[in-house]
Amino acid sequence: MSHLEVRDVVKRYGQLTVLSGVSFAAQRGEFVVMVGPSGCGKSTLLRSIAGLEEISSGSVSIAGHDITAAEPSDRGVAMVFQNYALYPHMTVAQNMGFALKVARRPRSEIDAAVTRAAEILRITDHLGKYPKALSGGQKQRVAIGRAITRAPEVFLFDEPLSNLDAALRSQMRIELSRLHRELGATMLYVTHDQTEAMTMADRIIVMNGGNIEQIGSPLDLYNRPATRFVAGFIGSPRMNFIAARVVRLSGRTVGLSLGEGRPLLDLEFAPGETLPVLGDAVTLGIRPEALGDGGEIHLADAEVAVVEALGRETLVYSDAHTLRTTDSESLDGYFAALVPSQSDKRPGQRVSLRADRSAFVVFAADGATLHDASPVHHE
Amino acid sequence: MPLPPTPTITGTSSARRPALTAGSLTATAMMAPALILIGVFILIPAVVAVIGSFFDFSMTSANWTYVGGDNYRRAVTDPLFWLAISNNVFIVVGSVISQVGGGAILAAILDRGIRRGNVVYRTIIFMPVVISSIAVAFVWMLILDPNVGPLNAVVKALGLPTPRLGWLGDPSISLWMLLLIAAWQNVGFQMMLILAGLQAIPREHYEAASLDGARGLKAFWYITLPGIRNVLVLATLITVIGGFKVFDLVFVTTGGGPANATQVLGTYTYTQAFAFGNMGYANAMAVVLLVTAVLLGWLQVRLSRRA
Repeated sequence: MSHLEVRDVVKRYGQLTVLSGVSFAAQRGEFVVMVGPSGCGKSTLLRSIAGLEEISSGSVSIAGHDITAAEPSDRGVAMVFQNYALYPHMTVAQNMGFALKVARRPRSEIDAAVTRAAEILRITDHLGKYPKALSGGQKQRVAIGRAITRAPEVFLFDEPLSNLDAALRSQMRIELSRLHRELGATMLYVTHDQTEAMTMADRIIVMNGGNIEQIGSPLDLYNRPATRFVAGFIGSPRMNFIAARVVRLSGRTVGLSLGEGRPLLDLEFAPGETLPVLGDAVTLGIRPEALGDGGEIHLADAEVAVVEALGRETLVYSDAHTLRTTDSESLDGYFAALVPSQSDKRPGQRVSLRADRSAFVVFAADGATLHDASPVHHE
Repeated sequence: MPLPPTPTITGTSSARRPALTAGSLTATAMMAPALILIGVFILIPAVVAVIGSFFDFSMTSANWTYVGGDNYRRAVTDPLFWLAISNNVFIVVGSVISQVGGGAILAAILDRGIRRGNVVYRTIIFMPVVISSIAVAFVWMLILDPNVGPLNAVVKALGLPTPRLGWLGDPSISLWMLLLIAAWQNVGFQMMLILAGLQAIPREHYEAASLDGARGLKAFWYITLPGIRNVLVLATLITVIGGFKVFDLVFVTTGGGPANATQVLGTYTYTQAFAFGNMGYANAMAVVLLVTAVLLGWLQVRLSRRA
């Protein structure tokens, strides 16, 4: 049986539907990350599970108990907030022991729970301090400690790292993963940062517009995105999207045109993959690491526009004006390629954009994935 | 001269600052206009009042007779001085309950209870604050007038008895009436202060508390009250100081009467100085008021620093 089960949860504010029938389940001890752009409903879903929002319909159960109508404190959940939400007039120890104090637990039990949580989070030295004397990272540890002392069935995290600077964030990611392993607790984590999702999750739930787009392991989502949205959201730098049209169908071979006077791109669709209809407008997807000046298919000639040296590798944005993108978030004709940093590309340089046939993904006009790429093999 | 007790608090707290920034010539120059004004209108009169409290003199005479602590000894044995003090204490306690308590209740209602028209109610309740005390006093004298006042008319219409000597003329109720007027005038200010305090508490604190099991009264006790503690301390001290220095309202409505029933330190000092010409004695009482105000101001600074 699932430890946390969300069934058909709908949340409406007046006319506005924020969650339109969301269902998923998490196993005991699983680290599930909900990811999506702002306004996709991920925070609302988390807050609904916490009992901070009343849902319009559907149900939530934890450890077999239906908690849809239960008070927040009776649900067996603890939540870590983005802004820490530490009580400013209480010391670190008082903050962490507050729930137990309200529940009238004996002093010795509160002290033991606080001490244990402080040891796990390595904040024992700060127990007597007030929140205002702590740094952002320390505050977030205390907020996590407050959740740990309650020994909840499910930990809920609402973008807990977004107020921290980049270096601290990546460190806290590691600590949260370690914490998850040590506690073996079920954790549900909301973020808009796909890196956090990829690095920490056992499973990722990608949300968009109040719906779940896809649920899967990080590599599942990366290698087999169910929709164009997931393909664009998971992976950094973002997948390139190229407008194409189906101009030939023969057996399971689909001939795609990338524009007037350009050679056709023939892709072999696997059995079970849905074939497009002749004349359909489709989107061709290609990951930046699969795009470069090697590869069997020549996509276009281009001019290097922007070079971002990332150290280990270099991100090259090239302008291929003969290609059109279907991605509203990127500039028309700009395509990203992730190349080894020795390649020494400079703006203005002429390059040819090439890729292997197996690297292409094809999306239908409605965004559904028609054809998957074979997983990329790095040397 | 009896000093105007109002700005003594500002005077004492501002007077500390130059010492902190004495090294900076620019800072001193920037503060000079304020310091000069405070010196001329507050510090010098305060010093003169302290000196004058050890002398016997009148408004017009040039002869100051040194009397030592006689003026203070006189106050200790003057039953009217003690009556005035006890009336002040009555007003202070009554005002804290009606203004801070009432302001807190109104603020809580506006913060949580009301969805529509929040700004309208807030404006209406705050409006008396911006009206001059003298005008407020005159408006209420009309309302409370035993012959033409609407209060008498309403009470009579309800078939209830009205005070024979009038609302302000009856010694047993006149002080209560002053309390009512003061509350009407000031509750809006306290409400705004406390409302600002309430709204400064982040929503997440209540959400975290509800997950921790603190809802309703527990949330009020553990989250709201500590959250507005400083504001409540400030509101209480403003009210306490206001209660001790009350003058204009009493002076206009009752003049301290009937039969000294509403005599407060402010009006009694005024009477001794300008009606009886006992400037030395009036100065001594003003100094008592000054010391009280300074102590309360110091207490406020201390309490708000601790938090």
